[in-house]
Amino acid sequence: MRFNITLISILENVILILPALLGVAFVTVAERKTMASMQRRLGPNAVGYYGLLQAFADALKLILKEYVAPTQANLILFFLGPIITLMFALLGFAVIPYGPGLSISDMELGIFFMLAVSSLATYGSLRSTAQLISYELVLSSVAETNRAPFDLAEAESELVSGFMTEHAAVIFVFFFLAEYSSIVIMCIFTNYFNIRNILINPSIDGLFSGISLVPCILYAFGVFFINISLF
Amino acid sequence: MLAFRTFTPLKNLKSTQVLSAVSQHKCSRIFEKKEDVMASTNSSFEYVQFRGLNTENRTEIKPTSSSVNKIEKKSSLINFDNSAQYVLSTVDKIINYTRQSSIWPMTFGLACCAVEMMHMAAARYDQDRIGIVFRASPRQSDVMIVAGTLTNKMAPALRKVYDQMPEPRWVISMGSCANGGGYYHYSYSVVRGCDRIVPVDIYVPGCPPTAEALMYGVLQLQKKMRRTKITQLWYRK
Amino acid sequence: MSSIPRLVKNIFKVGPRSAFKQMLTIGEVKTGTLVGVDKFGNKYFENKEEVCGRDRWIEYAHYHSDSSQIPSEWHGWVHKIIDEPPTVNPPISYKYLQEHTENFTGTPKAYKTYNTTAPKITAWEPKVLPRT
Repeated sequence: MRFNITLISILENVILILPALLGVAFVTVAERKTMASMQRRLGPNAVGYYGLLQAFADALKLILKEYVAPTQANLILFFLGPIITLMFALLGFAVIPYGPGLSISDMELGIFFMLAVSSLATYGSLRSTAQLISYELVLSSVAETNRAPFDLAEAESELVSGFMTEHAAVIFVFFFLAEYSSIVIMCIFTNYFNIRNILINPSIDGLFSGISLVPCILYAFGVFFINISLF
Repeated sequence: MLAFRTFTPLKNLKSTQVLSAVSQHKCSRIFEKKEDVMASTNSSFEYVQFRGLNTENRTEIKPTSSSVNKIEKKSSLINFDNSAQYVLSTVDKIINYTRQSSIWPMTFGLACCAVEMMHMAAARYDQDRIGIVFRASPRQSDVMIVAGTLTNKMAPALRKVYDQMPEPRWVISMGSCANGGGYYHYSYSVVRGCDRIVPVDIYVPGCPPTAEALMYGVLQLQKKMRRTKITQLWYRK
Repeated sequence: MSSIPRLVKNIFKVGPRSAFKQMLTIGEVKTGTLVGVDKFGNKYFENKEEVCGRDRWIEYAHYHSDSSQIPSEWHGWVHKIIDEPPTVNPPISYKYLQEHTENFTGTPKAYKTYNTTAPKITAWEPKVLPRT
């Protein structure tokens, strides 16, 4: 077929994005459970077995809700904002090597691409790069994703719900997913800088080789830990 | 015309009189002649007292037999007729399960009941276990928990917040002040029950209700969500 | 403390069928001594080695369980108001006690309030006196 290459690349993207979104969904449950354990209570445990279906219940409930839009708002921009946010948050998945030679696009400056994309243009990519070099990586991941104690840009606890206040049902799902997928991306990113292993080098061999996924999980735990302890 | 207030003793009231619904008490009519009064009596009394409605010389509206039969027989919701209803009842169960396992309340903590609501969020009666996350914005919440005394000054704000919630929405009225005025029922500046302002689904009694009682109220709300039949009723129409 | 070894141990102790049922209703698999069964069919368990607050639990007779399905003597034992269960310490039964019913809110059996006061306006039988 003439569009063979396009079809394959679309398929590559779908195979990447779907498990990534599934993973992000479980990261939300993981966050709630770790925060709960740090506060001596249980997290979600009533929904599925041990609370694993909580994210899907949340997302499905939000999809089934009525959507509300302000009368005077420009509807295109209103719906476009969260969609662009989610798009940029998911773009970072494109430059991660998952195995030797397995990545969607093999850019030479992939790291800068990820940094530029993940900051949502709130700081500007130059400042976020400077931030990464100056602070320690986990802390700067917390800063990147606008979590506490760096949540002034979002102002989620000052204003009612930050800039997400007026968005209703489905659009809110996009914001939610974008926030947590940027956490996942920053954890993977942190993994690449911190693992100096003679046997397995994740920047060459890829994310799924060996046990290089385990430090990702530990950095995610670090992000939640900083969030809850500095609240 | 003939005009008098006629009253019948209640045991003589015929059933057709009830159906003609126009009340005569509102219009006051004038007696024309005394003989008219006497002429319209149809019983052995000198003048007749009809209690209730004056139905003399009025066209009676009887339900015709065809309109009685026009009430259609709708299909039952308990014993299913066709297999589509089985599928739809499962769809309903899924929808209700997602709605009840992720309740996002918008807390309207006004007074002391708000502290008991915080107790429900704390470690002993953990609300995150059932999926309750407090969202501060009404646009993203399902339930509004009105906790505390609703004063006259606060009532328009409460109504505005309720109007901003998107459609599948419920209200839990917590504490006796929100149920019916409570301890401050006879005050000049208190709304005697928040159900004068918003429609309430679950009332949780107590002053303040223990956190366990509020949790039980939320579980009753889950039961109410379990009973709603959305797609089944849509299909039945 | 809930952990995976404890989960596996309890599944082997309790049996897979009961473990599955417990996972659906309670959310974790627990072993304990059966203290008693009440007249509705709810089973009451106790395990003193658990965390305080989770050491006495119920397996309800109905799938759609409600915590008002428990009679009041067992309610006292489950909430640790009384130490001894009603099997050891039977409650005093008064003559005027009603049958225990669960909370019927929202179902057709719910209690509907009705007026019990005397009506404000009372009607009378009209007595027509002849005009003289």
